[in-house]
Amino acid sequence: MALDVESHYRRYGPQVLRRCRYLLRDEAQAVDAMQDVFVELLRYQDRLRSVAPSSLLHQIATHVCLNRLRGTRRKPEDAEDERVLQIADSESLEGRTFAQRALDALFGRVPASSKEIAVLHFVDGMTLEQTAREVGMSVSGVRKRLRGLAAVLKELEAEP
Amino acid sequence: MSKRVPDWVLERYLVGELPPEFSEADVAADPTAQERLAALRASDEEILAKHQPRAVAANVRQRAEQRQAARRPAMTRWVPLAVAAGLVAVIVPVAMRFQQQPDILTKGLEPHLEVYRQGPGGNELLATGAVGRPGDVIQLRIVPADARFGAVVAVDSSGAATLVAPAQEGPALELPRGRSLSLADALQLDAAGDFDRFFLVTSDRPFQTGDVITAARKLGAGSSRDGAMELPSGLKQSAFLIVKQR
Repeated sequence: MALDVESHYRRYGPQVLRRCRYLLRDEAQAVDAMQDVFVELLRYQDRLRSVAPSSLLHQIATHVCLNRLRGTRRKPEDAEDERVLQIADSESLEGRTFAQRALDALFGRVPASSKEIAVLHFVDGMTLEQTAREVGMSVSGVRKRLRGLAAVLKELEAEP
Repeated sequence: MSKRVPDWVLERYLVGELPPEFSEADVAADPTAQERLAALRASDEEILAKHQPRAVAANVRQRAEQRQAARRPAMTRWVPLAVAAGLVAVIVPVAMRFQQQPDILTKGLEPHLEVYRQGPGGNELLATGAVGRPGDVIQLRIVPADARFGAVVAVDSSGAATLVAPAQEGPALELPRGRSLSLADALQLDAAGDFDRFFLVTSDRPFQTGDVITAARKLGAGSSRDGAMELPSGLKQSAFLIVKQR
C-alpha cells in the first residue's frame, strides 16, 4: 500500500521541520530539506523497517541536512551549531562515497555513517545505547564508528 | 532532582512514540517538560498552518516522481500514453535513448524551452520553427532562469491542448535553481496536423496547471501558429514551434 504522505506529514512534519531548522539554521533551506526528507521516506517505503516513524525520520533528516551542510562556509551561530558544522565537514573513515550511500545503507541494515551517529550522540545527547538502537547497531559498533571521526571526537570530548 | 528529558524524546512523546527507556513518569517528573511540550504544540500548529499538508504532500510526490524519472534508465523511458492520446498518435510505446545534455548555467536568461531531436549522429538542438517529421523523437528541456515554478503544455494545429509536464494536473513543477531540467519522458511526433507548439509557463510563485490548460485550449481554438495564451497575471510564457512536414 502506498505511503500516505499527507497523513505522515501532518503527524511528523513539524518535528522534521524543527529538526531541519535546528541543523541548517536557515528557514528556506530547512523547508526545502524537510520536503526532501519525505521524498526519501516515500522512496524507501517498501523497505521500511519496523521502527517508529519518528525515529526513522529523525535519521533521514539528519542525513539530508548533513549532506547540505557539507562544505558550508558560514559562521556558527552557537556551540551546538559549531558542533554540527564540524561534524558535517569532517572526513570520516568511510569517505564521501560512503556518505552518499548512507541513506541506502540505513534501510539496508548497513550501519549509518559515522557523521550521523556523531550528531545523534554529541549533538542530540543520546547515550551510546540509545544511539545504537536508533541506527540498528551494537554499542561496540557505534564506538567503532565514532572512532572513524577521531579528529572531531578529540575536539568534542575536550569541550566541557 | 529530576532529570531533564531531552528534546528528541519530547518530540517522540508528542507523537506517542516514547522510546522504551523513557516513561510517562519521566516526562511528568521534568519540571520543564510541560512548558516545552506546549511550545512544541504551538510550533506544530504554526508549521501546519504555514506549510499546509495538502500542498506539501503534492510537492513531495512531485519531487519523488521527478527523481524516480531521473534515476530511470534511458532505455525504459516510454512515450507517455497521456501525451500519446492527445498530441502524438503513437500506439506502441517506443523505447528511447537520449543522451544526457550537458547542464547550462541559467542565470541572466529568460525562462525558455530547449528542444532536442534524436538522430543517428546524436541529439540535435532545434530552433523554434524547425521542421519535424512523423516519428521524430524529441526531448524537452526547461531552462528556468530565475523562475521557481513551471509547466509545459502542447497545442497542435487541430486546437488540442495537452499538459506535458507535470504529468498530472495540479500544482506546477518546482524548478531547480540555477540549472535546467530535462523532462523525464521523450515525445514522438505523429503525422497529424500542421504544427505543434510547446509552451513553457513559469512563475516565481506556485500556480495550478488548470489555468494553463484552460488558456491553452482557448488559444488552440484559434489554431494559430503564433499568438500567446491569455494567462493570469504573474505567469510568463515562452513558445516553441515545430512545423510538421509529411
